[in-house]
This record gives sequence, structure tokens and C-alpha cells, in this order.
Amino acid sequence: MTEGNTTSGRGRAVLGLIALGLTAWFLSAVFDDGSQEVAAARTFTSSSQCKECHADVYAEWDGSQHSISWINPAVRLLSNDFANQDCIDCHAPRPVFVTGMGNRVLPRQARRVEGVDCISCHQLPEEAGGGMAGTDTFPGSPCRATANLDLQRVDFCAGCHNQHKTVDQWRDSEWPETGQDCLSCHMPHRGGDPNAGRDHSFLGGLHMPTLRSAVELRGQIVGGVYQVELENNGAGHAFPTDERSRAADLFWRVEGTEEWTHLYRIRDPYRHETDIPSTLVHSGETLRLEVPDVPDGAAVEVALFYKRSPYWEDPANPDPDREATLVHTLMLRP
Amino acid sequence: MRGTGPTIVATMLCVACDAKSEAPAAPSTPASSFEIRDVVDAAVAGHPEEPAPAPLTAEQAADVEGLATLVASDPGMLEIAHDDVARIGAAAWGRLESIARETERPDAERSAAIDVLACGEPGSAEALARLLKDVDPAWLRARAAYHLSVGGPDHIVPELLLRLRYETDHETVVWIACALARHGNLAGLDGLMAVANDAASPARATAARELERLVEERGLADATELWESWRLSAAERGFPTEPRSEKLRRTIVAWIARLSEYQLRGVDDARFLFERMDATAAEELAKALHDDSVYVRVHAAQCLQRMGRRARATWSALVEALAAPELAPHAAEALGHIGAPEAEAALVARLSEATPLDLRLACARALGFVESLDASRARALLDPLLESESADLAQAAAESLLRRDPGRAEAALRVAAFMEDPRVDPGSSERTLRDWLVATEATEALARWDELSAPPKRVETLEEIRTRRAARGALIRELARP
Repeated sequence: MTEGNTTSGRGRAVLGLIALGLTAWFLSAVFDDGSQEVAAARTFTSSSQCKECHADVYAEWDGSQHSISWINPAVRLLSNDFANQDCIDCHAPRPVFVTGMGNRVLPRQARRVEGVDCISCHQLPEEAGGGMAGTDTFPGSPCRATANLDLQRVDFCAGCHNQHKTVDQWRDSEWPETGQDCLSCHMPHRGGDPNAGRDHSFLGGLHMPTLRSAVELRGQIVGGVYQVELENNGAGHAFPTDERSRAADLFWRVEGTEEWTHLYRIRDPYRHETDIPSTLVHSGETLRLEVPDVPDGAAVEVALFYKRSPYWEDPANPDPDREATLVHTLMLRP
Repeated sequence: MRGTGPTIVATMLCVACDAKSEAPAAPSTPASSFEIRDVVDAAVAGHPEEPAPAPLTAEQAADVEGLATLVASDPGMLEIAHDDVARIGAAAWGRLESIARETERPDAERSAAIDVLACGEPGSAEALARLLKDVDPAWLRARAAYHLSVGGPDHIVPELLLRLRYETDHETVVWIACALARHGNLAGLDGLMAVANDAASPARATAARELERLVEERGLADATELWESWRLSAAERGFPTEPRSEKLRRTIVAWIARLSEYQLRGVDDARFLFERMDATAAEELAKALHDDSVYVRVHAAQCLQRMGRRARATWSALVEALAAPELAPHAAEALGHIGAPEAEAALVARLSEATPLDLRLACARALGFVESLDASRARALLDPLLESESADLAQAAAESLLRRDPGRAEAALRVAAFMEDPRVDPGSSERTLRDWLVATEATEALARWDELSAPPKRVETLEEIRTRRAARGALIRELARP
């Protein structure tokens, strides 16, 4: 018995070891993400290579403004098809980590058509070992991903976006104290889940919920005076930001009529437009206007339009419905 | 910000840059070094600012005030006012400038202050140039510019050039162009021609007259010839031998230092004015290629590229810069645009697969502009790149082949195909094809091409752009059909 018991105990121990081994193998087979394997390091010459492993993220970026920073028709119009070469620096930049965190970017020569791409933001300098900056470290991955918190810093975006003072506008606002930074609004966690990664579609002026949340349009009639207020209570920077090339316009019309009358333009002009004042509505500010010459007792519709190019085709007869994006509308009834 | 960077010696393969070499020169010379050092800060320190003048005494201030009032009431007293203000000296310029800016003053006094400033002293000319920046209304700027067109030192040229970027008043533009021309700088010529051709411009007659004067002074046939003479000036010469003031050099160096600024506004201004300067600036920019700020180095190369033929004398400095990794692609593109045949071998040597893509690409692009490269040799060098894995490189090769071999229809067809290829920048191929139509004097086709331009000030949809490009592609195919 004892011997038998002993034999049986040994047998159980062996079986137990086998079972343990099998369990370990099973768990490994099921849950192994391959991160322990070392893939050959790749040289990245195009962001399309990133798609092979990061298809979802690539798809988000591919629909973003960053992906079309070189081919965007509005950019090409405003840069005179990049005959204004000064625009190239930010619209086809060398990798941010190569020119250095917090530094201004420099232009690159190749694959400009990819715009502000994966490589622009994630490529680490060769001198520092190369690879890609990311949220986690995967030394065995083809891109040699390395966790790098600099990706989340405001200074990371500033090299380009502070050229038009957007980051300074944020710094001058109350938003830094609340902990809300560039990523909070423009690269939120997918589905609000911190474990789901950041949205790479770079939500901004083309994303209607983001655009609408930037400002609030209010109005009232006091003593027959039609008053309008536009408060920047949602943008962490001026509205609109990216001065010069963006504009917002307030129009009004009597209810039931088709034609809009221009009320006010919100914009920071180009440097050569020396006779145009800057009228940006900075974070926390409220613009107050009166609608002039309203027919007695009329109900008035006021609308805020957003323009991605500052020019109207016919400045004397702007057509906001066709040439701009309607953001907010408001009806003032006596 | 600058000046603290370590001395870096970037070592790379160097090129045999013998301009006479027939065979593509291999990067055969042993490794050479490209020295990085403090260039700009040292140069700025070597040109100390002049001390500020002692402030005006109360009595002098009253005298200056009186001179402006006097000339306002009696313009015939201007000569006496000039003598008097010269005796008071440099401190008077600031006061006169202030008087010209005071909007509450009568126009006559503001105008008189500007006239008194035009006394021929270098410091007073600087005050006039400062007024060009922002004094209102525009006629005061025009008056200041007119005086500078009659006389002024050469170191105000950069400020005058910068005004070309921002000035909207036609008369002021005319006089700025004339002031620049006094110093041999014809960068204002296109503005002058635009005003002369603008039937609605109140300054049209003045512009036409001044344009004619400039053409006659130089014994040329017309404005176009005048423009070409400026564009190609110094192409066959080295750095200018005519005297340039130390103060101009100091001003140039101060602007080069701005290339390292964080905000692109100052950098863009600097790039704008250097593009329009002459070989004096090119000489300083060539030195700046070695500066310890990567921004200064890269932007200096860009400025030389945009300066074009006027920077031709910098070719050897640019060839040397091909050994600096972060600078080399910009230096290569600059070598193409300055039109230096001496650079051909250096560019050719870097077409090999061993060269980093950015530099290889820049060399392929640059060779399209090197006029010494004949068609058959261009084909031998660039044809193999047409099959490159890099679409950018294949496009660059196709475009350069068309530039060097414009008679070959097949080359035009290839570029037209890139115009509709989503992997590359279609704008580059469009520019190349338009240049080709100009070069081959295909007048009718050029008119049709231009009719297919984007509508002004309207953002097209991507589909509209594709349609327009397809129509341009069809036009090229029609032309190239045997």
C-alpha cells in the first residue's frame, strides 16, 4: 500500500506536472500575443507599411485632416499649390522626434503626399536607436515600439500648431488648469475607454460635434434691440483657431426669407492683410453684437457659419449655405 | 537658443566634384568632413550695433519741431531745414519719425517731417524705411518711399524688400521698386509691371514712366529683358565686386540669425527677402551653411535655392554641404536651381542606391535644372530610376528627363501619368508640364492648359481636381500623339 501509495503518489505528481505543462501550453497558445517573438526590425519608408499591423488606426488617420495635409484642396488653394514653399514645413514635416520635442519642424523631401503621417509623429531618431514611439513597449515588434509619454504632451503638437498660436491660446486659457489638453478633445480615448487607445481621426473643425461644442450662440430681444452673444466656452483655444486660413461668420435673415445678411466676421488675418483687424473670440470670451436694421416686429434667424478658407467667391454676395458650414442657428422672435 | 550646440563633424562619403568629368563620378573620394560651428552668432558679435544717439535736449527737440512746422508752412525752407537737422544729428531722426506718425497733427506737418528726414543721412534713411512699415495713411508711406528712391544707403535694402511683401498701396510699391533699383536690386520689378499694367490703378502712369526709365538706363529693349537681366544677374560672375557697406552685411547677418527663430513668421520674412537679394546675401548664406543651428543651415540652403541664378557663386559651398546628412537634400535642390554646371558630377554621384532616399530624390530633381546635362546623358542617368520602388523617385526622374529632353513626347506622357498618380505630388508634375509647354512654345496648348486652372479663391472638391487633371492629361496625350 505504502509502496503502492508511493507509486500512485509519484504517478499523480507526474500527471500533475504533465497537466501543468499542458495548461501552460494551452494558456500560452490562447493568450500569447507574439510579443515575446522578435520580428525583424523594418525600415519604414511609407505610412502604408503601418497599415499591415495597425489597420484600424491607419483607417482613422486616413480619414483625418493630417492625412490630407498635402493634397487638401483648401491647403493647395491657400498655398498656391505650395508655390508658397513656406507652408511645406508643417504640411510635410520630418519626424517630430527627429527635429526634437518642443522644436519647430522642418520640411522633408520624400513622400510629401502622405502629409502628416504615422512616421511624422512616431518615428524615433536613428541616433536614439530608431523604432517607433507608442503607448507601450514591444521590443520584438517590427517597428520596435517604445513607450514614450512625449506623444501626449502639448509641446508635441506645438511645433506645427503653435505656429498659428493655438497652443499659446490654450496656455492663456483656463483649460490647462482643468487638465484638458490637445489630446482630450482632438484625440480622445476610443469610446471613452482609456484602454482602447486614442482616436487617430484628429477631431477638429471638420467634425461637427467638436465644432458645435466649441461655442454657444445665444440671443434675446431687449427693448426692441436684437442682441446676439457668441461664447467660446468649449474650445480650448480661440474660435476659430489656426488663424488666417479659417474664419467664422455670423449672418442673419428675417424668418421666411432666403437671403442672408452678413453680421460679423471672426478671423485673424494673414500678415499681408494689414488693414484687417483680428477678431478672434478667445477661450472664455463672449462676443456681443446687435442685429441692425431689423424690420419692426420681425422674427430673425441668426446663424453661425464656419469657413475653412477665408475667402468668399464673390465677397459682395457671399453664399454661406454653399460656401461654408452651418454650425449653430438661433431664432429671435419678438 | 543658438550657439551652444556642440561642434559636430558630419562624416559622409564625399564626391569628386570635378565639373569636367564625363563619366558619372562615383563617391570615390575618401570620407570628408563638414564642419559645423558657430557662424552666425560670431558674425553678429563681429558687427556690433552702433551706440544709440544721445537724446535730444529740450532745445534741440523744439528746434526739430520748429523745422517741421517751418517746412509745412514754407516748403522753400526745406534745404535750410536739411542743413539744420544735419547739425543736430542722429537724435533728430527719431523725433521727426514721431512727428510723421502723430495722427492728430496736420497732414502738412507730418509730410514736412518726412521731407526733412530726406536729408541724405544714413540714419534718417533708416527712419524713412521704418515709416514704410506702418505709417498711415498710405500717401505718407508713398512719400517716404519716394525719398528713398532718390537717395539712401544700401543697408536699407532688406527692409525695402520686406515691404514688398506687405505693402498694398500701389504708389508706395512703385517707389519701393525704384528705391531698390537704385541699389541694383530689381526685385520690385514684377510689382512695378503689375501696377503699370493695371488700368484701374491710380499709380499706373507713374509705374509705366519709371519702368521705361529703368529699361532705358540699362540700355535694354523692354521690361521683360530687364527682368531676365536681373534673374540671371551674377550668373556668369562670382560674388559682387562692387562695394557693399559693412552695415549691409550686418543687416544681412541679423536676418540670417532670424532663420533659427521658433515662430515661422520671422523665418518666412527672412526667406522672402533673401529670395530677392543679390549675391552679397548669397555669400553670407553660404557661410551660414556651416552654422551650428540646423534651422539656419537648412533655411540658408532653401534661400539659396530660391535666389536661383543670383546665388550661382555659392556652388562649391553647396557641394560641400552634400556631406551633411540633414542639409544635403536641401543643398542638392539648391544646386539645381542656381544653375551651376560645376555641380553636375556631385549630383550624379548621389543617384546611386547607396544614397539615402531624401538626398537621392533631391539630386534627381535638381538634375532637371542643370542645363549642362544633355539629353542623352540625362536618359542614361535617369531612365533606370523610372522603375524605382519609390514613386517619388520615379516621378522626379520622369520630370527631370522631360526638362532635359523636352523634345521627347514619351517623356511628357510619363509625367502626365504621374499627374494622376495618387502616390505622388501631382502639383509637381503639373508645374513640370506647364514649364514644358512654355519651353516648347506650344502657345495654343498652353492657353488650353491655363484654361484648366483651378478657379480663383474657390476650394474645389477632390473630384473636381481629378477631373481637371484628367483633362490636362488628355491634352498632353493629344499633343504627344505621333
